[in-house]
Amino acid sequence: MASYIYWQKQIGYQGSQSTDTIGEAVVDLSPFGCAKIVAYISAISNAQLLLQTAPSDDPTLWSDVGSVTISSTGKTAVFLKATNPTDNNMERLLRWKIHPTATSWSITFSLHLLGYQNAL
Amino acid sequence: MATCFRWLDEQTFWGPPISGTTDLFVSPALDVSEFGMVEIIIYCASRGADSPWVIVETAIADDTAMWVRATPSSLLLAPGSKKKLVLKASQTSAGEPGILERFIRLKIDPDSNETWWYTLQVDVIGYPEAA
Repeated sequence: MASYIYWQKQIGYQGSQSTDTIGEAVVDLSPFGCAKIVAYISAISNAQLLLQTAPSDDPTLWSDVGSVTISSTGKTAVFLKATNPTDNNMERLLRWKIHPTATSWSITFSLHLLGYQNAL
Repeated sequence: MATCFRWLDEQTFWGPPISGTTDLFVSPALDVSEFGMVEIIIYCASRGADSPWVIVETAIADDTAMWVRATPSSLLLAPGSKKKLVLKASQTSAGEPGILERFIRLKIDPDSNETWWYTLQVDVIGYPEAA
């Protein structure tokens, strides 16, 4: 059976440095074999929203989820599979990251997650 | 195990000539978050000659900004006909099969210049596993 998680309620960030911002909200995906992530970006300027995954919460183990870069307003959905070892990979933990593309940037977004027990 | 239920009992919807800017939602948002795949069977008992399109939408949250078409095409059902749609959680962009998120709703897009009417019935089969 699927589980819905309101992963990140709407939040706004702005910055004046080209430094990545890492979200503190880490989701444990271990109950799931696949998951649908829906990002809603209401405003964005000079920034990209990425997902990162790791098998444990060790700083060296986090990597960007392949081919998931959100850089425009509106709704973007991503489907992650535990069986996929490369592109759109899904490990035990998931977090978000803001990657600025200029020194002056801003973003307002929310994130939703639907997790499914079975692996595809 | 699949779950089968009637989403919409046979009902008639009608309206006067109006522009296509006013949608008619013929069902409240249905929470399908327990399913990874759903089949929607829409049966058209009858309709007027100049009836509008039927559209299935999906959303991750019941927020006006979140709703998108579940399938790329709108439906124009002939009287006495039925149409089956398959929505999958693994689908992320409009296409066949359709997208499934947390909620679905059914609307009529009355882009019609004449009085219109539709008599519809809708059944849903939900599967817990994503597909």
